[in-house]
Amino acid sequence: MVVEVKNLVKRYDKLVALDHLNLNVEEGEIFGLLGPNGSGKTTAINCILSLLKYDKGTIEIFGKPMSPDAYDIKRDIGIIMQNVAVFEELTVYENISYFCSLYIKDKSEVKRLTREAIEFVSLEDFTKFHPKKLSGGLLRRLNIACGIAHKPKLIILDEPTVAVDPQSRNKILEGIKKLNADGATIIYTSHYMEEVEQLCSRISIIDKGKVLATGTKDELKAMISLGEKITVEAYNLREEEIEELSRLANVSSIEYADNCLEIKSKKGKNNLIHVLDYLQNHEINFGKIYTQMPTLNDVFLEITGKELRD
Amino acid sequence: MQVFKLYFKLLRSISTTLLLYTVLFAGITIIQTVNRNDNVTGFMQDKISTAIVNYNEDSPLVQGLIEYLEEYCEFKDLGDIESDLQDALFFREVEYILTIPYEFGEDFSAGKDVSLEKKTVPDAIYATTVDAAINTYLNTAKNYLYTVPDITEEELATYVSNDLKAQATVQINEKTDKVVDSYYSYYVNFASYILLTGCIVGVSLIMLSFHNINIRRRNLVSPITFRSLNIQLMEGNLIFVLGYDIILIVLGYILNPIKTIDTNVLLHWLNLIVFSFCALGISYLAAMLVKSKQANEALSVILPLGLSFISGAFVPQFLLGDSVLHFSSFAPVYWFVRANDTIASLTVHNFTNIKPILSYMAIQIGFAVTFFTLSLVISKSKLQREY
Ligand SMILES: Nc1ncnc2c1ncn2[C@@H]1O[C@H](COP(=O)(O)OP(=O)(O)OP(=O)(O)O)[C@@H](O)[C@H]1O
Ligand SMILES: [Mg+2]
Repeated sequence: MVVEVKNLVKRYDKLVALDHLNLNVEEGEIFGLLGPNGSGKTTAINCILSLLKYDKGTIEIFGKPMSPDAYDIKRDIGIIMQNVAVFEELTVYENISYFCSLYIKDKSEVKRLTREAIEFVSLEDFTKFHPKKLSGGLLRRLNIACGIAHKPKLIILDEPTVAVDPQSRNKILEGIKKLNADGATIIYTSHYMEEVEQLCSRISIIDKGKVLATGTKDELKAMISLGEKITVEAYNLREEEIEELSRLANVSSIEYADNCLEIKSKKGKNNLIHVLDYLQNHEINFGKIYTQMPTLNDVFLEITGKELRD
Repeated sequence: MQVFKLYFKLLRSISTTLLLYTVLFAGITIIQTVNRNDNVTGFMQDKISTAIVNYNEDSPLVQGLIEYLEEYCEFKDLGDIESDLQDALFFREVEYILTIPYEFGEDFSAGKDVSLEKKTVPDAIYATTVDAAINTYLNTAKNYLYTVPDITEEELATYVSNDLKAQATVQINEKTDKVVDSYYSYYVNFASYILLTGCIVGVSLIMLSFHNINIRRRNLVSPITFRSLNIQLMEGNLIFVLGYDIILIVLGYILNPIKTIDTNVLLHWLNLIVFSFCALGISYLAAMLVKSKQANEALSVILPLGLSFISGAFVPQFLLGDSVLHFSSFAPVYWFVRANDTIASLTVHNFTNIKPILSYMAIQIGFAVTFFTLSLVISKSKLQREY
């Protein structure tokens, strides 16, 4: 177990930001912490890193209790905060080199690692730039480079892609996968379910400081009753036809507008075939047809009754 | 060492601002010095017009002193109304006001600790020749008091006068000494302003970078201890401020046309170094309280200007109202300036004369300690809230 959080409680005055939070992160995985804004992701990360006092609970990293002066644990952690933390007065190179040198004593080693980190985030053309001259995406990449240059065993990223264009975002996600492939354990927080789905091997969904569900994305989707969503381009459907469709097995809801039929089905077998059979038997014309498996958003929706992003 | 090294990298980014301030300061000093040198030849023949308020006219010692001072002063009797005298000084009718208190001669001869009161116009460089003359006279008298125990006041006055007539030639050297001193008291007073500004620009800005919550967190999650981080920062700050002291001292030496280094000059330098700890303390505290770099920039303009002004670094302290001085005595600059002014009028370096200077320095150190303690307390309470 790389990180083990048990019954973590954190209060900000009356607000309970973390409410008996439990997390287990295994070695070698990319662990996702998915939750809407204000759900307590950053608070959890700060507590795990001993940057915040908490009211209750225990936190162990690498099997040892974490504390503000657990320097041997800190040595192996890399952290990329939600807010960019770099010195405005220093260049890209100097920033990375400084943060790396806090972990690595040997000068030439720092140099080598700094160059590697620059290469890793593709900032080779910007080494002499000051942070102010960098675009949002480049700045995020610098922020990441500062956190990972020393090759930590555990990397914690707190929404590293906020306000980043899709291209930079993909680069960052690719990079995280590569860090993981090179052996690092990753904790990744986000409120973008697409990212978490794409990246993480295991996910905890949190809301209001509580873990609602934990598992692989398939396990999470299996937890809910919702099956696939079937969308059909169908022309001139009559009221009674829609009525009949809604009575098919496993159909949980149905909508028809602008020649577009949307059927949400419950979990079950052959849901699509039933719909197709009906259309054929009633000689209804249809064009495009496709199905979507439930997303983590659907999971979140079913558990909390609200959208992940409101 | 990483943080220490980083300190100087960060300093590099503000070096232009610091250089600009220093160059400006040097420029102003040069202009001031040139102006003063023009005066030198013109003055030598002139005597300083001095108002004398004598409450002890019948004392032989006082008569002897006045007689002796006539060599340096042109006396005017303007009465003893405070506001008239202040006006005369303000409109430069007189450059120097000397007040001799009641029973001065008698008390002095009895070995009591008495002193004359004086007031001068700002940048009255030659006023110090009067100070020197007074000091010479009274110190000679003191020597007789010590060596001849039962001496009467009349005898004392005669001995001293005879003595000083014999030594008249020595005085010429002292005059140039006093020019050096007035240059330094001006220079060092002004330098304190530059030093304070430089510290707030430099130290506060760097400390602010480190206080930035995101940067601090990144430092806190690293394996470097909080203690080591702070020690390294402090080392950086000390080297910065001492370096700045040295630059200002060397600059002062280069710009001064008269290249003598005597005890007074050394005392001025010591005072500047002592003051720089206050400046450092103020900057530390400022960095704790100020939220943004913009606010800090504003502070770096307003605070030194305000403090220097009310404390008499630009305008002599006696020209400032009592209420202002009362207020400014809560600022370290006031004690710094007071120490400088006292050093400037110093001719005999015995412990009694130097003691007040040392106590002013001690007060400054007290201020510095207070500032650092306050910063530490605030820093601790901030940390408590987070961890
Ligand atoms: N310093 C603080 N003082 C008081 N309340 C706070 C503080 N920091 C966070 N909170 C509150 O605690 C809750 C959790 O905040 P947190 O920043 O951990 O959420 P988050 O999941 O990281 O959100 P986001 O996706 O916006 O980053 C929020 O309701 C927030 O308002
Ligand atoms: Mg957050």
